[in-house]
Amino acid sequence: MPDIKVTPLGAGQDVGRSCILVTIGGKNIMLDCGMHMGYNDERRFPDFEYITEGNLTEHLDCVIISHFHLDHCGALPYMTEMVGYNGPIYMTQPTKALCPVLLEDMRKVAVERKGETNFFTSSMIKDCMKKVITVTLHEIVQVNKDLEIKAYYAGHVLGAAMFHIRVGSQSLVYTGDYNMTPDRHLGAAWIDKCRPDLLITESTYATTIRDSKRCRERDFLKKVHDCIDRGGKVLIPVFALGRVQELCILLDTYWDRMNLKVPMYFTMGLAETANKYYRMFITWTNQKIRRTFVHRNMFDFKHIKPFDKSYMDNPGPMVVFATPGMLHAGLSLAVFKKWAPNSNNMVIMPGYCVQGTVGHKILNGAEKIEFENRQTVEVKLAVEYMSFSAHADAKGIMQLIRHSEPKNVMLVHGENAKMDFLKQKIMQEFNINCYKPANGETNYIPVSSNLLVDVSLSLLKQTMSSSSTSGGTVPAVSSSMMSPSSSSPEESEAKRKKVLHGVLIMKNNNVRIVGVNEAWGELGITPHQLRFTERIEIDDLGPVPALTSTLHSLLSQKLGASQVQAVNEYQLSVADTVCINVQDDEPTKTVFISWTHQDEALGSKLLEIIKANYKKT
Amino acid sequence: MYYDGGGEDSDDEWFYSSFKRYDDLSMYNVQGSISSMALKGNSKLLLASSRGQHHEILELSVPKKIIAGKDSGLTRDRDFGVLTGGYTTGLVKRILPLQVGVVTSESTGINFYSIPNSLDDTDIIMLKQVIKKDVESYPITDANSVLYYGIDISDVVTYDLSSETSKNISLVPDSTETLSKEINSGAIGDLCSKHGNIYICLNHSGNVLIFDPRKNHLLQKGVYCEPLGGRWTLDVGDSGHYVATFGSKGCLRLYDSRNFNKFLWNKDFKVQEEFKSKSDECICVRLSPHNNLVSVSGIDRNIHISGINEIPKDNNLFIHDGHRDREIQSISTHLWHPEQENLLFSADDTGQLQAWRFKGS
Repeated sequence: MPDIKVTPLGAGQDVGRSCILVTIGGKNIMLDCGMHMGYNDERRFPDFEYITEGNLTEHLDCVIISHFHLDHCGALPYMTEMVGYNGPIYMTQPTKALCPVLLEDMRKVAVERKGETNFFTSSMIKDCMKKVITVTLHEIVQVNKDLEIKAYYAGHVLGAAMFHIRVGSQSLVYTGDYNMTPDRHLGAAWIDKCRPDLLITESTYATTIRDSKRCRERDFLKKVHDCIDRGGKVLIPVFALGRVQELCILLDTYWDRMNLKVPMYFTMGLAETANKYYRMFITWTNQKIRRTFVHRNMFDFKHIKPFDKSYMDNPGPMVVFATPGMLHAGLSLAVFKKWAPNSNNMVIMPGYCVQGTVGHKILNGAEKIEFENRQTVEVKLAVEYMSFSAHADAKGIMQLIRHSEPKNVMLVHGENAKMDFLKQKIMQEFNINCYKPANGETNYIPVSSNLLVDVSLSLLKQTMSSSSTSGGTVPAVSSSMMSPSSSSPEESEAKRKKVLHGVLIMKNNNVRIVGVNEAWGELGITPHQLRFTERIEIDDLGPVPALTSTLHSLLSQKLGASQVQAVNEYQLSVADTVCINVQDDEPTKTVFISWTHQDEALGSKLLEIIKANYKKT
Repeated sequence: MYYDGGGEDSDDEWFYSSFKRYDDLSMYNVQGSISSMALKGNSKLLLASSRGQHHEILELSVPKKIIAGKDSGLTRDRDFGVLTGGYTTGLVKRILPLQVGVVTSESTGINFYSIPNSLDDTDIIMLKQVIKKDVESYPITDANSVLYYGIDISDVVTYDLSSETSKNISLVPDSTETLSKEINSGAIGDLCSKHGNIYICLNHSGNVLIFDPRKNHLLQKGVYCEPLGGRWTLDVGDSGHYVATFGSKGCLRLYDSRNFNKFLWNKDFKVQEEFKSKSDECICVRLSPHNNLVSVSGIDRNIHISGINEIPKDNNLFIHDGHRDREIQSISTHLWHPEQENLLFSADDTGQLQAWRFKGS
């Protein structure tokens, strides 16, 4: 049976980096190529030497990237330009547009802030992206003669996709990160009943029950309101393509409803970038955003206005959205430096911050930040953290399985080592296998290929009407079929398995099973029958009938009394097909065993039994 | 192409108004309908949910944000973690957390499940003992390491988990005559235990009895009340003095057991029409660990909180109306956090679990 081979790449048991190798139908595919943000050395990259040393081009049919988060694409330039790969890389259009932005940002922090050497360069990022082929949702892309892929909407972030991969009759679906509940600016993941042989799903939140979006938003609004109530200033560093759009809508609506007069701002760079990308990828957002976009510019809010650098000195409360999101440079950092020493102020961090950035430091409780020019800043303002990231939890995973109906499920990158209960649930409720490999551990998923075959009507009728299962040229069905606990004979007759004996004919792209006699006729072949006869010499001085009787007992013992019949004094019949003749050949006896070609196995076995019993010492 | 979010705007108003009413508010979605919950200590929640024939029990870690105290806002850990879980044989109506496991009263009987700890290899909750088969949603409680269950006061069973032996007892051993006159029927609505005593609330009448198992006789009985009918449930305050009973017709009574020949007060709640069929199963009354408050649920979509000390007038102290889904047919249960002030958990049959801390007056 063909297998699908899956190996999550990585060092140790760490999560936080997605890179999965899959071999399906003889094709090798790399799913995502993420970087682990917690390490500063080689451990942050997947261990590509697992595939081969040096250039990977010959060993991979393609690479697929699910979305632009660094833990899914952060190692891509390293892999393509420093390890070496020149094959195709597939991703959606927004992902292709946004990956380089994040990669460049990250590169800058690594090299300029952390002073790293041997990191990929800006031109490497560009060269890497030249190898990218974009895909549209639900479009079947032929990677090569046998391999085709198709992208599905995943929600989660702009441009995120789940990928369906097919080679011949084998298929799998890789989810990347996804979420099953729609939010203010993105829809929820969707997939049809594609029934893949394997569904590979992220399981980071599989053992979590997450607080609702509404309540997180509520806390966010409350925090902002409380801060401005006491005259403080709120800085919200954001990534232009993250949830800033959502948060602006949230605050604008709230300000309107509560009739608040405190000024709110966004930085121009933020607005420009966001507008540019949303305009390009408007179809990737949800209905509501698209409707508003038609009527007005993305950043045309009632209460949120463009920011000027000079405003940061204005007295009184205000709220500012500024890039970049990790406070590592630019306007958001400048505003932070100004506002940090005041304990009335607040900064709300949007989520993950790369090590080395100011964002990372303050989230870890730093009370003082030192900058290159010997400038230090006291961190007295309130540091808050908020995460609105949308991931599927246990309920979402079960929903996805229900929609797509895979034959097997694999959970990857689960932080919690123990997921026995979830596995049990999946196995019990969907009656399918569930795997949970460790990093570096290869799993083989057996795939059964189904071949649809027509059966001739006469053969079917013949089989149905044939009395039960014993006799004929077919070995007896196991006795478990005739267990005493089975119901009435009529019922069990209909449910009892029958063995179909026929000939498989493949002609004109058509596959059929027909009865043996039908096959002779159809194929115009004259039936031949092969019969083998073996003779064994036995040193036996008694009369022939005695030897026959002994053989009868011996074979009955070995095969079961019902199988062996005595035809007459010198002849036995086994399973109605094999003949045993005993002859007197003064001074010895000769035993002839005769069987047809189909009973080779039985004949050989009988031969063995008799020979073993009458071994010449 | 994908599912669109909808209908959120109408809820905006409620969320904005919640700023003044709640210090903290969190909402979670569990798969299936939540049928029962119980807290294990301060930081673990046992929760039972059902989807068709699949019934499961989960042991969840309470998010740090909730235990951290008032108004901690945007703390990182605001999600419940599923620590362990397992299938139960039937729909769980009552959960009794014990040291190494949990006893459940289900639609198919009473069972004991073992719960693995963090050092175990597995996270699966397993059925360890079938305590009583084929009994439906029996009231259960435990006192002095002994389990009590039964539906009539004349026929209560005590079960020792370690020796796996059971014994039949009658909670009305003597003076049956005097008692039966006053007690219309011995059908048990609910059982509760405090300081080793068993508190019993009878169906139909809502009458209360206190039984001392160590002395094997009835300590007290509450003032007799004419039966109003329906199912009754009860809760007992930490000190063992305050006893609250609540009937499925909406009648709440508060007693002080130190003066059992009258009740402190009673109050009638209106049972909403759509909830009348479910109120028998779902009525729930709880006494708060501090502040002398009493809460009820099961008669509508809300949780109603009143003060114990004042005779409540028409206004409630607080009404939690966070369960707003139109599909809700019942509020399954609610409970108070044993330490955090004004912090409650509530659950409904659409799978919504809510943790909320209301602003005290």
